[in-house]
Amino acid sequence: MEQGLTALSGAANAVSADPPRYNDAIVRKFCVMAVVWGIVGMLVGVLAAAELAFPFMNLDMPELSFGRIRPLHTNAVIFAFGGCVLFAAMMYSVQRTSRVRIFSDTLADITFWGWQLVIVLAALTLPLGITAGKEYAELEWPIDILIAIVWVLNGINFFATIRKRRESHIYVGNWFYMAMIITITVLHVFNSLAYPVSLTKSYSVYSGVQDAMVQWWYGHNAVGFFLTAGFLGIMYYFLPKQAGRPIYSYRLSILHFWTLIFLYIWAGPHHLLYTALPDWTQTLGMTFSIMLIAPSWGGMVNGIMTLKGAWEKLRTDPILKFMIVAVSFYGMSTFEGPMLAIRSVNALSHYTDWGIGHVHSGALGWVAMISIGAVYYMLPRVFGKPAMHSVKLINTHFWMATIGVVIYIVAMWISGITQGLMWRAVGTDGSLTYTFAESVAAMHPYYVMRLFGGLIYFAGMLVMGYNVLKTVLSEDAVPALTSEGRGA
Amino acid sequence: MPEKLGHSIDGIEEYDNPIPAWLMWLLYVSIAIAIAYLVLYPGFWKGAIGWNQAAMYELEIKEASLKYASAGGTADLSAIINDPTAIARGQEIFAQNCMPCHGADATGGIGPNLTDNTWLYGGAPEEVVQTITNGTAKGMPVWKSQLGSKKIADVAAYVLSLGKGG
Repeated sequence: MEQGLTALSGAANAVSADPPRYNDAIVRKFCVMAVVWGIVGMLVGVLAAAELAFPFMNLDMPELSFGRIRPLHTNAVIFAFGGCVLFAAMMYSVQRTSRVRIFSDTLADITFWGWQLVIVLAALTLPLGITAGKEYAELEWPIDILIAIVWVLNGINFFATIRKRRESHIYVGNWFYMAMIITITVLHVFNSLAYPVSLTKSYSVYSGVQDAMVQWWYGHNAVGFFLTAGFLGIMYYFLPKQAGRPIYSYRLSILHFWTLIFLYIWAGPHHLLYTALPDWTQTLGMTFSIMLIAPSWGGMVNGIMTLKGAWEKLRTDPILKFMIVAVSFYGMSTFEGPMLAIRSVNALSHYTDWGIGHVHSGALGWVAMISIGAVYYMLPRVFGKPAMHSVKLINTHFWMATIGVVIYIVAMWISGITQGLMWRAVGTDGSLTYTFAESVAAMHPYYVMRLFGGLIYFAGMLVMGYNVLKTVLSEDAVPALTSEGRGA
Repeated sequence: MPEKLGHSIDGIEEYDNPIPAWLMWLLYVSIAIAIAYLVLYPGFWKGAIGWNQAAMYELEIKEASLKYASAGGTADLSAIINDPTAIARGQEIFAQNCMPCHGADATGGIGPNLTDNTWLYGGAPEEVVQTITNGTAKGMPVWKSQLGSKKIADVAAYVLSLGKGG
């Protein structure tokens, strides 16, 4: 089995002088599925946005109603699209930065097929209304157990690869992956602990405000460790590779890694300001969120400054544009986040669309854009092609993504602040100025605008899908391409 | 040229540039703000300024009740009951707030029929106002803060006008 795969992926590495014979077959699979799930997940997002603007879009089917489609969208884009990109990027870069083949091809394949099974089960259960009811952790207990097994097996494979590395130094990108693997294991297992009452129904072992606190300890660090640490790991490999420049500052990467890891895990309570959570816990969440600005910006500074002396490349290289705009959105949303965590700001913003806008500036701006850049980088290399089918189409995709995300965020800022102000407006006699239904009606134009922005972003993913298809199916091949020969 | 670390990993080199001073200051200042906030507010102790969430709620309710005590009022209730413009205003408020439970024509649904002559909680103007203001144990919500006394009087006028015709 292992030798067969080696022979398969050997073609791309045939001419390598120092032949580590990397497993690129696994990267190929994850890259292709990342694009597929990206398109599917964003299509479901567009449907959810359409239902909010035009409620008849749910076609009166319970399976398509917003409450079921929304978790399907979040799970698909975060764990299906984001997860596949992460696994592809991890396995691509850990082999190259360790100069060894991945520890076990079998474990890598189990990770791939196990993860796809999780995604398919999610796509079946969520529309049927089978849910644990925890945000970003909706899947029921049998799927949770499957996730834990697949995740830990991948972790073993990753750490074992690091252990047998032929580089004395562990590269910074791999620190972030390791932090993610360990922390997500702990978060997922403890947040998902539940009493099963049937195959499709369970109850959390925590109750009341403790359940809420555990949920947001998980929820906030799914953002902090999966969507932040994991994708910083991607940035630290693919940005300097694409730019052909050294990392700006090694000591900055040490400082911002450890401060980020230490501070993030405390910030969860900022999701529960002005609730039954004790005052002291709320304060802790807020203060640790404020202290997170500089550690987050450390990643942005290291990314952007890596381009110092090579700015002109941005004019001609749309992949690099994706990466730099991603890092810029990362900086913007990691400033916005701590501001929203301040008690008095949160009193206005909480429960409004401002939160949705904030999440999407992180998700569409940072996570998806760095992912798209990394996939465009990896894809021709693991398929043994000279380049992507069309650089022009990458550029088109870049502008569609950028314009789409800006329209989306602006719409949600306006509607969020409008909502917050309408909800708290009080007339001269002390009664509320607006009924809730009036605030819903006022959102309509912004929901249409959001749908429009989302549609543009989604159409950009279709352009990517076409470009990927043409690249994979093209007859061009690069026999001389070595999997580690293009670093210079 | 800044100093480079001695290694090249898969072709990636690393400079060892100093961390920008402004970034270090941002870190120090944010830590100082966090510590100051933890001294002032409940965190590691009860907080220097004595603020807490429950007390803030009590204070805001107290301030609001003082501020709005003179507004509205129900002294002229009997005049409002027979005022056609008040009844028209009440109909609009009813459509926005009461319709989901009592039905568009007020013949009932989740809540009881308001067009007949049965009054579960009393049919006198003061009693109707009281029912809307404070709700009932059977599921009628409290409308005091949502509507305010003026709007409640208008709705009461509308509801009372329904019983008369039929």
